Amino acid sequence: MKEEKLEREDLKGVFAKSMAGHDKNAYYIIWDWDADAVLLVNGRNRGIGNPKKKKRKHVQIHRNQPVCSGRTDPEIRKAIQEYQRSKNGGEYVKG
Amino acid sequence: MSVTIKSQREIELMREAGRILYEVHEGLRKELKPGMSTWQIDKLGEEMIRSYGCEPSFLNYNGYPASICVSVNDEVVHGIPSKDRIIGEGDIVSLDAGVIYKGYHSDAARTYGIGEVSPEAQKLMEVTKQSFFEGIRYAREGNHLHDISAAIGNYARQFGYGVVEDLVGHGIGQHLHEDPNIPNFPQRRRGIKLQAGMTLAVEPMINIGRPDVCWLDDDWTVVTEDGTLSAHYENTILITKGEPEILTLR
Repeated sequence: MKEEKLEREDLKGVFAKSMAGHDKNAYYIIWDWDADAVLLVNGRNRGIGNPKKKKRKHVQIHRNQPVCSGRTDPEIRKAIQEYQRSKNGGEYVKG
Repeated sequence: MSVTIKSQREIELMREAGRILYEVHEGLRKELKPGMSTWQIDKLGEEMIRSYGCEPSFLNYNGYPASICVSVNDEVVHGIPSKDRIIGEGDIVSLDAGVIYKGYHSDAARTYGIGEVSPEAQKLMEVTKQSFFEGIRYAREGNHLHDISAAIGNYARQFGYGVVEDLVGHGIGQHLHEDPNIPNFPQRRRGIKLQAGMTLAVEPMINIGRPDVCWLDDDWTVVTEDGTLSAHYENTILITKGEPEILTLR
């Protein structure tokens, strides 16, 4: 129980990249998680009131990287935008 | 995926894919009128694409459910056609389409005014289109990719417009989306050196207001965050040693 709580806190705010689905390559932050899935938010279509549930195996979790401390959608959106751009010139959505 | 240089044979196939897509866009332009649903536009577009023996590039691409992206007013790109969405006088409508001809894609977008549109909307469409042409002045062998990005962004920003930063143009060929990404605003780095034989989809997306966009709950439709109008203009181009060849224009 203690270990689970610790990991839950450790992952909260960590950046993650979708590796499957039509949001493949999209960045999120981890809002919460359970044993099999993570709840992801991006401050856009997936805001804190409407997180996206995704299987953990379909997500690349960016441990040992900066963590998003933002707790509002605009803060999360901005943090993701900056994080994306810090990664190899940015991961954008192709039009 | 690395940036691909097309052979002469591949270029010929992409020229034909581009020519067909130009004809499809011309056909759709003539059909657009107030009262149409965006679903009807999609069906017409799909029929036209298939009439040339081609497949629509977008249909089922990563799960996208239609052949034409129809984005109205504050919708930037990737609007999903619907029987309930009726276009009306004064709307601006972006049509983004792609075709696959013998395994090769072309991709192009146009924004049209329906009937009489506001002067602000008209200017937005003109500046967006012109920003594409400002960008491709730099699209030639020996220049750097982000010369194109800077030219597009600097031109559009002169008018106080928001240049969308979250979505970018892309390489194109056997895949709809290939490397490189082509942002529409100045970058810190110069980007790759352009070489003859590269094929690129250059596509400024410009908002009257701020550049910020968000995704609707359908996970596809991108809208301006501040609700202002947005326009989109795109062509597939071929880099040469001289002027670029615009494959989806005549």
